[in-house]
Amino acid sequence: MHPRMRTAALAALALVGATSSTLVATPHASANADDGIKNVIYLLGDGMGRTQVSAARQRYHGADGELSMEKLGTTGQVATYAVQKNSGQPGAADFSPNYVTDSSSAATAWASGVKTYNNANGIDAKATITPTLMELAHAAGLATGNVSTAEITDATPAGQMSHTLQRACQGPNYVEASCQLPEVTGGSPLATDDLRVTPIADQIATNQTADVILGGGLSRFDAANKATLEGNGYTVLSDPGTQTVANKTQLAAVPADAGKVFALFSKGNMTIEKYKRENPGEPEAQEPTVADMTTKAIEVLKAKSDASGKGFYLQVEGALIDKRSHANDAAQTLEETKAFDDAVKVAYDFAKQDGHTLVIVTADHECAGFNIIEKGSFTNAEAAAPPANNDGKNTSNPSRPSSGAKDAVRSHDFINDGGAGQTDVKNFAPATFGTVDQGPNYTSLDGTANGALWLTYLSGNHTGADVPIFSYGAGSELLDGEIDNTDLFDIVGSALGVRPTIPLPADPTVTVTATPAPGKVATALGITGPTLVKPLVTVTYRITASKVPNGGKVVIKDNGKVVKTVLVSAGRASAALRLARGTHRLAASYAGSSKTLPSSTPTLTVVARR
Amino acid sequence: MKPLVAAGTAGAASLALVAGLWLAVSGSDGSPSADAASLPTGPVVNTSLGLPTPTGDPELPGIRGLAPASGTVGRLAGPFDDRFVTRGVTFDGRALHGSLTVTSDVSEILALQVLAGFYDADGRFVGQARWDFRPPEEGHEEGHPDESVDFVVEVPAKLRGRAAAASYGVTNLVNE
Repeated sequence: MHPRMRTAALAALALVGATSSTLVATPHASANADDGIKNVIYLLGDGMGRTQVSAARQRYHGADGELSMEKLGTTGQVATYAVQKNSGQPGAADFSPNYVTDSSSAATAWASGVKTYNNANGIDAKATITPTLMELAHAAGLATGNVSTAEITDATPAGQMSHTLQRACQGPNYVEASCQLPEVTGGSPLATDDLRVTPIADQIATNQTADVILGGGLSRFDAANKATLEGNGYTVLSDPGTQTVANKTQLAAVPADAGKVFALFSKGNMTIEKYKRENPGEPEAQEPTVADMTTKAIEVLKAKSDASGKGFYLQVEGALIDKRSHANDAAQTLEETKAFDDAVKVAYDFAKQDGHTLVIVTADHECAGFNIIEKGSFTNAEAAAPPANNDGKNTSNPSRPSSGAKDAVRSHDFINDGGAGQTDVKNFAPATFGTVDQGPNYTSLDGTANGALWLTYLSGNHTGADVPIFSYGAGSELLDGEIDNTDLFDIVGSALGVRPTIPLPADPTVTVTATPAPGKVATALGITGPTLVKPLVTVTYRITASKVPNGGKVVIKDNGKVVKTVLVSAGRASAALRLARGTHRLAASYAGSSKTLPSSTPTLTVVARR
Repeated sequence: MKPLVAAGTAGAASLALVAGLWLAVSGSDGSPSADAASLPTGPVVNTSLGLPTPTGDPELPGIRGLAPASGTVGRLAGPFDDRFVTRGVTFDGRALHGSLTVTSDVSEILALQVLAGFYDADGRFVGQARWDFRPPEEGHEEGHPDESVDFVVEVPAKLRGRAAAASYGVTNLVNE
């Protein structure tokens, strides 16, 4: 555990211990305590699966290096599945999962805490509006910001600021085919003034959910939107009426005390970094980076937060990782992941200095089945036939007569070679890249067999793999294992003080319960483990047992009842528990012996829920 | 998990104007938490934003006054013209045919609407029709994303025989 997180965890534990309730709805002032969290910066790499992170690390920092996101200290993974239209929530009789999510369903999961169908935005799978974290934060007086390199009406930013039956209902106009979805509204279209068929651009311009709005997508807005925004006190840097985009110089000039800012830097999605770098004279080169936008957003939100005495909530999306992954463009997938990581560094540096900020970095889903293959090897897509053994019961007796060899038609030159490999649409060869491990001129190895990093894609679409989550700051302890994307609603909401407080894990520091007596040795116990678990899923809790002899019995109680007895070995023990849904107060105790004194742990409060 | 209950919005097929949401916070057992009172209870989302009520799909400026010559196809400006190119757009008196390739994205098309205007032999506007792209039911097409689509805007039956020229433009385009 990171030292600062340990301190914060202890402080939070003390707070919980003073209340005796597990889900403690503390007023926001409590969350602003000296060692507490005031702010949350939530950064999303759209489509950024584990391989996108690993490959970007290897490319730019080397095998032994780290991206900024990997330096945050706490790492876990997130399940991302969606549900079908009209599905109930998990556990309901009519629950019907869809294993591969899109960005809108995923955004709704963390923003509103519900599973919904792909294409839905800020509603559950039965079309009921679900309030979002950003709306709750705004209503509670926190400063709020939403940054994206996509159109700001796109799924990820829209998931916090709007509610629509279809993510395609972006604007500037209502279009029935893009906004209505009768199959989830009882077979009939909704009235056209219903929020759920109101174009996202109109919702964003009107509802003031985000104080700072930075990104792309000016074409989605019109002159009326500008008037509305200005009427609501926004500094509007880009003009929807004339479709004049803002630029990075204008952004840099925004004063910290601007309060509310609306700036869109492109008509559609923002421009990839490679194009801007190679075309410095083009208008697109004047777009800010996602790190630039994050810097300004933090500056404005911090000032507003300082003025109000409340915290801020900022969401940042690096959207082009997904866009380029759909295109199987490994070069830009890597570069956009790096650009996103630069934004993470901005947030991380701020959090370290601020001391009251939880930084979370994750993704909505993986995109395109990105893989790192060994240099010189090839994939099934390149092979004349897949590997021979497909019979796991008897691997010495192949069920196919021959093994897969590389097919020269399906794979000839590297697809990023700038030549035949790149232009042949039926070429499945990998893209190859040099890495910093190969010296300062490593980019000269791109597209050659000498590049150390060989990358492949499975498809052009999303996949259902879990995604990584990195975090820093008090509260990150809740993110160090496997969670569901809907759990982020409560975890982030707790940190912001707009959802019930989730207690942080107990510190493993042992508790001495008796003063040493002549002839007896003092013992001490500690218990650690996750405090937020899924019902009836086996979870291991670790016991530290100082001075307890091997074979000493430690009793685990849940809400006062004995649920497990474990034996100590080398000062440690573990207890595998399956906890039913609800609140559990776990404590371990040792009865002592003729040579040792008894001891017990503080109570560890655990919440088991979907 | 469904921790927030929006009174007045559950079963919201027919939404009435709601000034704000009453937020009930559920405990881990699903029952309301005793601490709910300390959480925000003010307006969070409204079911109506007071915006002008749309009366239909969008028009494109100039469609009525374009007056293309008989047998030709005119082009209408739209908000997303920097995101695509069209090829092979023709009009045969019964329908407008063409192919559209998105140049700004390679991900799936989520929404695309082509609006066509129809004109008589004297260039007078006589009516219009639309074509909407329908994405695959499960949201993801098999194979590599394909940003090119063919569109056909048929002349409405009541205009058959009168339409001698056409115009077209794109009113809506959304990529994944």
